Amino acid sequence: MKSVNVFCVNDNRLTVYNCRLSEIKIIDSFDFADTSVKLRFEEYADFYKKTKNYLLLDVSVEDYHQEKLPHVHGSDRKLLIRRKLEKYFPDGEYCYSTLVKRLKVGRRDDIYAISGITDSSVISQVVSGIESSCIDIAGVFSLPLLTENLISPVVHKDQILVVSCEEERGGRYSFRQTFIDNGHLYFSRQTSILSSPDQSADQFRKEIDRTWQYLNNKHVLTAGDRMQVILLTPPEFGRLLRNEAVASHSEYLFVDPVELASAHGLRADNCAVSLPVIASFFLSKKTPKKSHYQPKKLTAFHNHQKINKFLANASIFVVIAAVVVSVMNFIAYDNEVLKGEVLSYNEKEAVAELHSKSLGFRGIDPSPQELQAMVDVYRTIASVNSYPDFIFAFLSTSFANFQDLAISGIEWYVKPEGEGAWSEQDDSMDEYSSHDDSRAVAAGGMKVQPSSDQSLSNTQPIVIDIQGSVKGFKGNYRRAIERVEFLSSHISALNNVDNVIVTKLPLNVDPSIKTSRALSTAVIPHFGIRIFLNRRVLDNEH
Amino acid sequence: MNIEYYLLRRRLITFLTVSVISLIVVIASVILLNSKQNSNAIMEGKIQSVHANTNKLMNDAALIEAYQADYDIISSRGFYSEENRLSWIEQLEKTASRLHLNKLQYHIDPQQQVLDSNHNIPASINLFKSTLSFDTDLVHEGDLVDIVKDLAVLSAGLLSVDSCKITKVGERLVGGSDYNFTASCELSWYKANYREGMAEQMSDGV
Repeated sequence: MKSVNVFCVNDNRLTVYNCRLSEIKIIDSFDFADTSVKLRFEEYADFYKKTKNYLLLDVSVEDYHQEKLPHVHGSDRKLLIRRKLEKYFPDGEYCYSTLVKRLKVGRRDDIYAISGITDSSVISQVVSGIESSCIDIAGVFSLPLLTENLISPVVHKDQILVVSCEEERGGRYSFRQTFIDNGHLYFSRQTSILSSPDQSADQFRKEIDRTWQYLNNKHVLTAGDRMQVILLTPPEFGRLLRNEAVASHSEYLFVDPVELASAHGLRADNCAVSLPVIASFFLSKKTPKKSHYQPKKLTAFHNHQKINKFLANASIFVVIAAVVVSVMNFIAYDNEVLKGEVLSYNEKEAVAELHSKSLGFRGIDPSPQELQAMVDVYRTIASVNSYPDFIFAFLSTSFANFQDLAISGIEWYVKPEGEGAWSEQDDSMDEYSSHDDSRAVAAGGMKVQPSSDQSLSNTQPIVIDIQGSVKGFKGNYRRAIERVEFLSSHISALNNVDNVIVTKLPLNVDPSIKTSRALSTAVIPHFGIRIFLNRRVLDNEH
Repeated sequence: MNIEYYLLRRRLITFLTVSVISLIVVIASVILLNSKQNSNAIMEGKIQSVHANTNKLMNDAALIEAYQADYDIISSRGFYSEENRLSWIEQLEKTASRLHLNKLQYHIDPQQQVLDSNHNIPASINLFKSTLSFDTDLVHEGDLVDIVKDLAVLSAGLLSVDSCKITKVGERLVGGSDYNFTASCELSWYKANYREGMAEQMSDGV
């Protein structure tokens, strides 16, 4: 279980308390007059190194002041306070300041409580011993400055004088009077009186009266109010005082030190309870965040110990992190090993499958890609059938019901890829060409009979030019023209026809051309038709 | 704050030692893990490569199934053979003799490589074309059908009729024989072969 050591130093001795749970015990007590102190102290040095340690000062050479300082902030405030501390305590090792209040009138200055140890020779020998033993002190505290915290369980006035008493060797009582004004230490002083039953009560009353007089002269006390004196005394001395008169302008409040200790959670079975004992226990349980004093040697050593502690924690963290990362990596490695075994098996399977499948492909010539490429090229070229038998069969079917129209010439060719089924070039070749259907019809010249869908095919059509004449013509041009146009519309309705253009009619009646004829000459009513086939098939022959 | 190293020496040495040892252990474990992961990744790559090759084989099998029959037919028609101009001439003259086409005239242009992009010729194929044109008189239009059919059935490449013109000329006496039509046609004989370098590239994967 965690324990805390408190090195309590007063003017005569060093007492080491060990606080654990709700108990406190004295490990050792060293009189400064004793020459064997150093040896005895070093016996416990190893024990002190393992625990948390505090230094508690209960010395008579501590001075207290209250200073009025301008209300400034930041570095200016620090500078002002430092200057004041240097003024009162030139060595600067044992000094402390805290803000008491801000005045509400005038410049509204700040009131600071300043305390410090004017003669640190007694403390220095203790500090030297601690430092030479490499004992880490986590904080240095002043007993008077802790008094307000220690009597907090007692209901009291705003202004109180706390009187603690210890019986010293040599038949004297050591008194510490600590005046607290609204929670802030105003002053504290130590006196000693003879422990004679006849005189001690009287001396005590005089001490209280002197204190009241001092405070009254300082105008600290509330006018017309009795000063409350809280007495933390040994039982026998308390009994003595109860039977005596109270100091003038004062009222006594007797507090049993054991009860006060109990209120702080201390079960004081192992040692006599006094204010230093309660303060030591209080420090072990509720250590103030800020150390009252920061002696250079102890602070430097403590800071180094903090670095050491950080390094120790960092080492532990590094070890834990390394172990965690390594374990995770090894677990992952183990998984990878298992995965590798599976992959190795899969690879063998895949290779075996590939080997078995590739057996049938060895020595194949040409390769499958070559096969495909060759066949595709062949199909592309052979996709257009313009053989005479196909053309003749198509025309035979197309002219089946047009015996009055005789064919005198046929020309066909495969239209080069990329040209439309019916292009401007086709029109320009025609004697009766025209881009305007209506104009062409009106002219009785070229008439376009588009197929059911007017789209121009991007396929490779076969173009067939047919020249012919009308049989049995008896001068009826209208009848002859109608037959040719009927033939044209009949052919254009066939499935494999893209387009049909009438390139020549038996009589050219285009208004834009000159028409002349001698009736004596015989007329041969010629016609011309251009057919665009869209057939893209591989014929059986291919 | 002045640092007194003698006060920190022990912890510092401990910390550094622990850190170095921990770092070594962690690095060793990472290296071990990475090496195994890399070897597994390589193995995965190999498996993928083998699977890819297997898939390619399957695709090749599908290609062979789809194209082998057509390829055999096309091959039997001499599309991949050398040009056989002699057989064309023999067949043409034989047909002319059979049909009594005394006026038949023909000429065959030198074979040329087809570089026309319209044919979508793959880079692996060399396509060649020889153009045959003829002019003749015909007694019947069916004679033209016979001439082209006789040439087409030759196993001497792919024959394509580029253009034809047949004109009825009426009743005339030419050389003591009657003929009713004149015809002129332009035909193309296509041949192909495979580029060797490309063939090797294409079959590399198999």
